[in-house]
Amino acid sequence: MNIIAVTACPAGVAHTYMAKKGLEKAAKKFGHKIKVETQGSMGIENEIKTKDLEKADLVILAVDTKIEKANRFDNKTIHEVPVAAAVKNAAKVIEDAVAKL
Amino acid sequence: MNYSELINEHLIDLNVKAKTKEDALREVANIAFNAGRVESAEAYLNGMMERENTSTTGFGGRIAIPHAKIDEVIKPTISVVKLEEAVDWQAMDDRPVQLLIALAVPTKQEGTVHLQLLAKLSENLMEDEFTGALLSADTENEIYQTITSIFNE
Repeated sequence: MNIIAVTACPAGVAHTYMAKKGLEKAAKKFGHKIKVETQGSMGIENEIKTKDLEKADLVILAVDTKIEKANRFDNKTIHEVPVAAAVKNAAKVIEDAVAKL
Repeated sequence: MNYSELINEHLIDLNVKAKTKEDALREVANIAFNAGRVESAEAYLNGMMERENTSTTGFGGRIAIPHAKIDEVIKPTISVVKLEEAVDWQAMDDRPVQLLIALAVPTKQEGTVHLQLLAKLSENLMEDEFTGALLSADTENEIYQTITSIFNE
């Protein structure tokens, strides 16, 4: 499965990046492909582009703040959780997201 | 780069006594202030407490990553505190916290080099091998080496 995700937290210093790592590790465990964009203190990194969107089966938003360019995902299946959920148990976040399809 | 810009052994204390989260964060703030990294210990403490009140930084496994992004930070800073006795942190796994990896970030940060290193540190906190090495470290130097080793990767 192809997953795209965005992580963001208020300070954009720590949890944004912990959540990214958590999601990447969990996706790998399940054999899914994932691309995680971070919207943190350095702005948008590893940005999800149109070509990523085209092949994406679902979108995970692990965010505690309003994200930029959210309208990119308008036609996609979105699973939104607090950023802490992806830090604490990213595997469950991915399972729940996949269950939405 | 010279990592002492971010962390050095003056910013690591492995024998801190604290009874509460606020006590522990006050120690973190004092260490940063005494090392000349923040203009005001109180502002740093308040910044960290405000962040904790939004949601806990205790991400499980007895470690927390308290942080604040405030004007009063002189230089981006990592400090590490090991508590003699673990304290309640309302952590994600409900376990008390023994080790604090604290970050101080200035509101206006020029350049991204330091922010990238803090992001790298945060990512590594999701690796059991890394957190295990931090938790089992007995000396300030071991902590320093463990943290700076990931910056060299």
